[in-house]
Amino acid sequence: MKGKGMQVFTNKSKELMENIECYLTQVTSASLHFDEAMKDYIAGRMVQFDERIHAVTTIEREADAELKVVKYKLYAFMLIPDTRGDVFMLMDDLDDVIDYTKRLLLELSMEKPVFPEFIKEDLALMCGDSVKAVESLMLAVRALFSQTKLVEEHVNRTVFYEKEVDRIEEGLIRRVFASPEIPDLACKMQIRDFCTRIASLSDISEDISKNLLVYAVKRMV
Amino acid sequence: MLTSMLFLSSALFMGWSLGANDAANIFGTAVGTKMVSFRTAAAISCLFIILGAVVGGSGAAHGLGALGAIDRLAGAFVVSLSAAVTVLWMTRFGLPVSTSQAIVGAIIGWNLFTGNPTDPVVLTRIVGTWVYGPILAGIFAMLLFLVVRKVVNNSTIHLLVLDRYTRNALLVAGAFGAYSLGANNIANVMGVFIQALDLPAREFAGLVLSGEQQLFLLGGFAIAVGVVTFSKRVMLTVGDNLFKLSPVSAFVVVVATALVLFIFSSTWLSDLFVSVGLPPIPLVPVSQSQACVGAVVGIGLVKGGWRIINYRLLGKIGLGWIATPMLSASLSYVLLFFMQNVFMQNVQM
Repeated sequence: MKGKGMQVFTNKSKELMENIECYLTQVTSASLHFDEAMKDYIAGRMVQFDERIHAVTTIEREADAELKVVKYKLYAFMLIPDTRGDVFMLMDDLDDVIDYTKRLLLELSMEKPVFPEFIKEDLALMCGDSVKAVESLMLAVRALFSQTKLVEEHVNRTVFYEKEVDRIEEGLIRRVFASPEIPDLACKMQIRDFCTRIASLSDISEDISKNLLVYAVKRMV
Repeated sequence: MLTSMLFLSSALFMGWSLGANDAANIFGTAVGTKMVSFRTAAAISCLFIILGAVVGGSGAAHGLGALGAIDRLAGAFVVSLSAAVTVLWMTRFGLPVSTSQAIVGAIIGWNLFTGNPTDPVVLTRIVGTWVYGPILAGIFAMLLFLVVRKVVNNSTIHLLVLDRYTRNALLVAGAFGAYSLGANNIANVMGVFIQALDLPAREFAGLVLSGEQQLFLLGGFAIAVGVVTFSKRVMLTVGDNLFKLSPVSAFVVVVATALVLFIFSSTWLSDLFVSVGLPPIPLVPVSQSQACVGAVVGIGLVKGGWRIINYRLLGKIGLGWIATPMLSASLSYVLLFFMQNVFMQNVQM
């Protein structure tokens, strides 16, 4: 029979696992909402777009609260300081993903850039690949917790999608600046700016995944 | 009684020194990485060192006694003091010192001074364990590390659960390590006094302890005092010099080291060997530090070959291993001279 102290500890550990899982789900949800929001914006469905912004804002607020709990419990109940530090950093880094998606959507709603028809398909593709990079990152994060051997595979996918996004981004920017359909240089620069910002989501994912790889190597015996 | 206690003071000092230094090899990484609090580590160490000394200390102590039958308290006092002072000096030079080799050197010094022959068979057996000890620890560590690596790397255990398992494993391994240290190395603390001090059997809390066990209990307490008063600093620095150990590697090192110490102190295991037609295991005190280094090297070999080992420090350790018995033998010889000729105390019957 387990002692009372050990029982309490086990429950706390389980609670922390649930808190981390909840937080990871919020990060994934935010990226999925971002993807849908971008589709809505590109298609001109502004009501749905605003609803998505509201959803992401809510998720971001809830995730912040959850992160605070996770950080506290990590220090209160997790035992290996090195692993604790890595998990702490990772959770903090993932917060950047949610914050970034929220900020990007808010900037879109404030600046309302007009995307010409000829880039819409590629723009949607770039958004999709950026979100795929986040999804691969989240799979890598989950693998770190329960199947370290798979981390590298998911990180490779993240890196692959980041490269895809970069490729699409470059093509988009070239076409925007070469196009006579957008006469105003300011408009071209604004579109370029948003293309770069959307692509940055995959850059953030890649940066986190590189750190994640280090944590995974450290965890491997 | 007072004279006996005065002469036993060197053994208590030796025990304190052993506790201060060697407990760090058991819980160093766990405490150094803050996985286990020093209070918990010290409590487990003290309990299991005393238990090991009283329950399983006899085998190695008699093995050491075969090297030199020191039959006077004054002689035992000097031999123990010489070994303890040697350990202290070597520690001050920053060398990972072996208590086992210090005591063996000091006994040889007594043999030389008193004109008693040193049995070459016994000496070879003891020196042989200095070689087998680290090699065996290295082999155990390699095998154990391969198994643990396979299990951990292929498991789907959640990081947090694995974290808890690792801590518990370190605690269990630490308890085993402390037991083995007590069982094997109590010989270094009290071995030379067994023949010199004949104590009647006494009852403690319903348990009848022989004279020998009473000595081991006292020695165990001395080691425990060393653990409580001085080992924290050593624990916080251990593991950084030779090879940086992860908690899992530390578990492997502690278990491999403990297995070696256990094997060389277990009369039960030796009897089992004999019963199946194998030669008996030489029951002698082995150097925990040497075994520990052997285990670390074993893991190093599995992880990345010889290139990741700090050879300069290994060389320093090797130098200490040769210097320790020579220094303690010389010191023992000189101090025995003073004891016999200045303090007019007979150092042998």
